Amino acid sequence: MKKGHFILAVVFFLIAVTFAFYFFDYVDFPGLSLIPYYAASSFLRMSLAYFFALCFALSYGYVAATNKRARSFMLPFLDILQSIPILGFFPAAVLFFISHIHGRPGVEMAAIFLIFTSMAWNLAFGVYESLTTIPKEIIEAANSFGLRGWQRLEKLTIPACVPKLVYNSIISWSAGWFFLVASEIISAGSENYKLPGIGSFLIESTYSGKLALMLVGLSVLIIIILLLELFIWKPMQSWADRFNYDYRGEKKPGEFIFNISIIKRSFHFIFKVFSRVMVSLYIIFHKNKIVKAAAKYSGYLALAAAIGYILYLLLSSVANVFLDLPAGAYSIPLAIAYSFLRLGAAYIICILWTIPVAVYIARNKKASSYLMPIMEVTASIPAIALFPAMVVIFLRYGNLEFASILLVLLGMQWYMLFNLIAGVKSISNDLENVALSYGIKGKLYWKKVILPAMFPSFVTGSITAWGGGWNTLIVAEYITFNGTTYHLFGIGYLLDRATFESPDPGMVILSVLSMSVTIIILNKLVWQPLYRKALTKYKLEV
Amino acid sequence: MLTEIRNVSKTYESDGNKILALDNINFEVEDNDFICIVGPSGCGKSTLLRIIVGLEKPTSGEVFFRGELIAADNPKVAMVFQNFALFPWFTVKENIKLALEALGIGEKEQDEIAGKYIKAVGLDGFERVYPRELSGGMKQRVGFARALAVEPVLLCMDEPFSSLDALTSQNLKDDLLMLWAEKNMPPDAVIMVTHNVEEAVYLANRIIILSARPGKVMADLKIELTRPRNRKDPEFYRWVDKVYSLIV
Amino acid sequence: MIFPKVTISEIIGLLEAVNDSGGVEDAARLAGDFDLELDEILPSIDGAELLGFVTVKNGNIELTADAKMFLEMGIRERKKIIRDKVKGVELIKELRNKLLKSDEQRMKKEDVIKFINNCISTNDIESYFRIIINWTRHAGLIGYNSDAEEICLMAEK
Repeated sequence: MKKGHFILAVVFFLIAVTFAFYFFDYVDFPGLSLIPYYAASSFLRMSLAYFFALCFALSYGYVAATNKRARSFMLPFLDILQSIPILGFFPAAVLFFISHIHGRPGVEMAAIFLIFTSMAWNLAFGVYESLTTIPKEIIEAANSFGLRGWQRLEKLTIPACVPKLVYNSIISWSAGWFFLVASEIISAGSENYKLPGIGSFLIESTYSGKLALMLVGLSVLIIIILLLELFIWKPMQSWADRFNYDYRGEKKPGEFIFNISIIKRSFHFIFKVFSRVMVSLYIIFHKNKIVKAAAKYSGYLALAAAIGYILYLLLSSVANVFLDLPAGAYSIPLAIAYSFLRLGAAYIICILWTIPVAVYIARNKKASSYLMPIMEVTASIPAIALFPAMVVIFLRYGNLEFASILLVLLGMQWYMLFNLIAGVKSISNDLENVALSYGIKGKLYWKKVILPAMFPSFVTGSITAWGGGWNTLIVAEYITFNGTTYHLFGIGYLLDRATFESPDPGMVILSVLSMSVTIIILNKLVWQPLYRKALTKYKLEV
Repeated sequence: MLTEIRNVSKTYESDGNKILALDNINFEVEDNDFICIVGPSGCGKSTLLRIIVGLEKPTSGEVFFRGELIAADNPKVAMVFQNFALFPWFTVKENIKLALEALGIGEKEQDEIAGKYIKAVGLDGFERVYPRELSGGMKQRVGFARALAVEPVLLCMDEPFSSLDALTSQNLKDDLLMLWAEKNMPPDAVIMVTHNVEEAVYLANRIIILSARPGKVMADLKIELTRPRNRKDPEFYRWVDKVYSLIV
Repeated sequence: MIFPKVTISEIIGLLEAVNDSGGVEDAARLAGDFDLELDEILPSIDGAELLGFVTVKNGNIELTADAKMFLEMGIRERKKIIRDKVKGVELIKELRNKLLKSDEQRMKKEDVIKFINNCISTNDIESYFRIIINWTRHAGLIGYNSDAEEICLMAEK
């Protein structure tokens, strides 16, 4: 990221602030002075969720990578978890946490849990992949040096995870911002469950018609994201690069990288503490046979009890639901169909513009050097933050349907675009030279070179785009604004209504269930076969 | 005269500095030439080949092919790449047909021509195989078949054997010489870049030696060894030594 | 049964090298010529022996009459010789027979793998599969469709 990004954001912020102060009676608006507080609460929620997600990922990934038996059910389980639309969980999570912890703390926990789920699975996969792809020679070297216990963790295991963890953390945080804002927006609709944060600030300012303030809030969000990018992620990335097996130490010219030795040292410290704790626990449990046996059995018992309890909860609620189908149940298939059509429409529009633009950007150095920064900044705004603004605009023109499709499109297109750009860039120089020297150009070049080369990234882009799309729908189909509720008939609507309007746990369960089943079916029937084909027939050798 | 390389020089910009890679290269390529360009690494031989083929433009000077300035997609000049450069989503036959389709040849004729050259390089049986299933040697055979299928007048090869194991490379070189000897087979002339002097002496009837950067033509040797050449022959080694002495 | 992990191209390369030395060469010296260790060149020697192209005596590799004739031929004629030689290899003969008796003269890759496992004890079954298919494709005897993952008989031309 260049200084250009930062300057862009600052400019945007200044324009927004000027706007806000031009209408100076807004200066009294309580929200404005509370922005730091709101921003801090949002950031705190993110950080807590991230910390839990990291701990989970390290433990889960480590066990899955080292224990063959555990792996056989841990991985498919993680796969299923990944395909369940996270936002679908939020209403259910709210109801669950509230029933155990009343009031706002309950909702906070629900929100943090939500963000946690958006981060944890892909971090866990990252850890698992890192640990299973350590080159044989390095493991052999570690063995020959007699690396055991915490030394092994510190010098082999954790360094192996660093590159993927950093990369996945960046992605997790982007996803996290989306769900953070979403959960704050959704909860803002209900007086009892409101969470103070950037998301609720956005919707409140839109609610009171103070659009300029909304712009201020939006730019604060962008600035936080960019600051993180500049001062944490970019430096972490170049530090993590050192842990790559083919480290080349390239520094792009003109790139400004903040010195993060403090952050580096604190991460290092945390890792060290974590690994020592883990290993001490490990040693205690392994050295003492009685403790080991007791731990083993009580562990199994606890696991069985936990699984049993969860199954009981699930089955009884599901059974209850099916024994006494809620009234809305019969509208579910139709609702899913409507939602699916919305997603389809957004997807088609998405493909139509991202494919040509991706090809253009990937092949045009000049265009990409000023288009890419703009796109990266725009892409880092969680689409959902724009929703309040879009609702206002579209309500004026009376058509919420366009707003929702547009919102879904925004939620899909960046995944698609960046994946496609990477896909076109992956066409090796050699293949480009073949096309040049054998005169393969025009339609023939598109049909037989570019499109096939883009296919793998097209598939991965589509998978993530649809995942993002389902989640966006849950917000896009139900908005409470000015006391009125605007909705579009669809599965997101059914879910939100059953949570916030007339609490109906049965409907909530059914909606989430049917949504998940739809997604899983789509994955099995469409995406996974395509992905397999992409990996074999279309894989470009490096 | 097939190709004329006239006063070709190439300068690069790197970190704000100008680097002269090639310095005033001049030579001509005639019918029946099998030229190997050799030289120390970094002398710019691959760059020179790319300029000859039209994939890069010289900073000064020109390359004329049959009297006209060379263009990258000239159908009479074909290229074979060190890392094979096959499209992974096409079979062997489809990879070759793609080059023919680019020339505007119809489907049926594409099939015939591709079939002919697949047999010529000994790839029959592999028509419907994908590149990922092929060993390096077979992949390069496809590279050859593709280049020959467009029936070029000039065949250019950039270190075509460097990515292959020794035994397969031996086999492929002998097959290449067999194809070269056949009167009815394209091309009329070959320019090959290699860092392996023995390989050059084995294959070429003319060796052009470039100096270290900036690359200049140090020598233009006619190799007077009868074919088939034998690496164990002392006469062979005398030529190898001669080339080595001129490189340093 | 031991099957050499070597491609047909490598075997032919070996023959050409021995030919350069006048038809006989010491194995170690041959390895050295190619900058290989002796055990790296052994599979090629085994393969050449299996196809009846060389005989090995006291560390010396000698070309057979068949090999000398083979080397005089052009690419197309060589194909016919390869076909005949590969046809005679025990493992490939058995595979062909199995194939002839199969439904539509096709066999799934997994069945081929099982068959190879019965003949060769190895950890790297995938490599052996690839090598055997390399031989049978060269010989124009058996082809492999990687999309459908099944082998089939190739028509005699």
